[in-house]
Amino acid sequence: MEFKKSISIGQYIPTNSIVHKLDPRFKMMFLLTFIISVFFIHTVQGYLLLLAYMLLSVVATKISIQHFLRALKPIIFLLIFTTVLQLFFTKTGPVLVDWWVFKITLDGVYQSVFIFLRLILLVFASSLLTLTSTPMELTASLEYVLHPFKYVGLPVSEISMMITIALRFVPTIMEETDRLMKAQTARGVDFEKGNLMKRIANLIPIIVPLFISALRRADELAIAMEARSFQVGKPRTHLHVLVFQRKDYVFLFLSLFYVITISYFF
Amino acid sequence: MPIQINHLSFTYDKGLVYEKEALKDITMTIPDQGIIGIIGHSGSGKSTLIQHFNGLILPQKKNTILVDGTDLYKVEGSLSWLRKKVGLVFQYPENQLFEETIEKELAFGPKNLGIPEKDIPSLIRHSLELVGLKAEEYLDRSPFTLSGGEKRKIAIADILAMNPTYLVLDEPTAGLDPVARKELLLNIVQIQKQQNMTVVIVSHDMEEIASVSEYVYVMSESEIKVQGPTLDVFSQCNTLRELQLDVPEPIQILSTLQKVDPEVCIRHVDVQGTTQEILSFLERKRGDHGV
Repeated sequence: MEFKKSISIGQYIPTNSIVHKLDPRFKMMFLLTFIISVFFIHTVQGYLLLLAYMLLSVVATKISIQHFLRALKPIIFLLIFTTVLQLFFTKTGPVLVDWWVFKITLDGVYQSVFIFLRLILLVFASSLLTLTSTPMELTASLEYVLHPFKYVGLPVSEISMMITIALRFVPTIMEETDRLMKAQTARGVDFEKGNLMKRIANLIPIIVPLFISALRRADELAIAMEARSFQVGKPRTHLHVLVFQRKDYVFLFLSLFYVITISYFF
Repeated sequence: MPIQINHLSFTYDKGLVYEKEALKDITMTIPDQGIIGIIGHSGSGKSTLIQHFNGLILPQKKNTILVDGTDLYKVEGSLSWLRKKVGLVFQYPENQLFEETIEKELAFGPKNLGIPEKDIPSLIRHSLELVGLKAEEYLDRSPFTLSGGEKRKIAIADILAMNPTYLVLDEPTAGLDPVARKELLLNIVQIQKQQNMTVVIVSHDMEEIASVSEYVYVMSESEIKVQGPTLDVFSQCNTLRELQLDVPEPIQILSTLQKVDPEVCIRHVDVQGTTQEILSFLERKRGDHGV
């Protein structure tokens, strides 16, 4: 029933931490570098150093670690599956356990710890960005990062406008879904019962009204935007202009230095 | 048997950072018949409260809600019986319409409840009649071709087709034009009389509540602040103003007049009764001055 809680998009959590105050473009560029370095590094030691950096950043955000852990929930299956797979199917290295068909080797343990840390680092890094930047900041930085592609004909401002609008309506549509589920439950639908076919059929009374209202809303939004002279392809100004400050440069330099050094040596 | 609510409290997201207390120590009785009003601003907890009536939200403690003697804390398994007993019409219910024809739309609820196919047509016809629409004209039409007011009526008929004992309406007139609004309110009163059922109307519009309900609960900040027979509640002008609720105009006028002439009675919320009261006040004034 509580549909809203199981999905977290636009999961911005406001605190007054330094991480929140950093330029979102910095955070986005750093995230990119971080992800690349995660794939570059091939030792557990390197990952532990990254993890240390990550944990330090998590503490700096003043956001409870719970929120970061919650981001792991959707991939928990993947996490367990890959870890277990690595553990049992790596056949090289000295054997630690040999029982029936199971054979656990030192390399297997190493590999599974490695893959486990890799997934955790990736999730934490992206959460670090999304938990500390508002969706608006994120799209603004995306527009900035994609900026060079303007010159090869990519409609960057339009893409970022589309993302902004899409993000803007995610909570609205989730609320609407929640309400519709309740309304149809009041009309006797039981979403938790029945076989697969029945459950799929139960979605029709949700999806049809949802589409109708989404289309209506899109229409209204288009009219409202046109009434305010929105035109495709025209240059636009921003309400909040992002300006790099000295602290952004300092952080960017230090963080990049740390991450790149680790990638180089491990 | 009534719906009995004893010291009901409810907290959203209990134990989390953004936990929010939506209901605080609510005690009320929804009787077997009559029209009950629940007034309050948005965010006062009224929607959370009515979702407890049909088990969309289950209570967090035992013995806090008893529907016809059954404690909702202890219920297990299917809640169909409860959904049938307490029909809940959400705000802007026309948004929930989805079928191709009104007939299918109205049959949706009864079918979900497992009512035998052969009984459904008569239920549908009866429910359309109740909201004042002719079955022959409407059954084959698509619900999406209707006007806003008609759609709303169909959505209410959807719930009535399940033949509930209690009908709970959340802001039933929101977004309707004044004519449709009046018509719908009259309609609701008729339905109550005809079915001899209980209707609970939730609204922030004082005038609306005043015109239909017999007993009123005023909610604010998750609590019931005032309750009583409609006129008693509405004559507490100052308390209502403190809760930032508009006192209906007729009552405002009468209570102002009452300060000058204690004989003025606040018994009316409709225009006619108020006019009568003002006229007799003027009569008396004229007599005083010996004109």
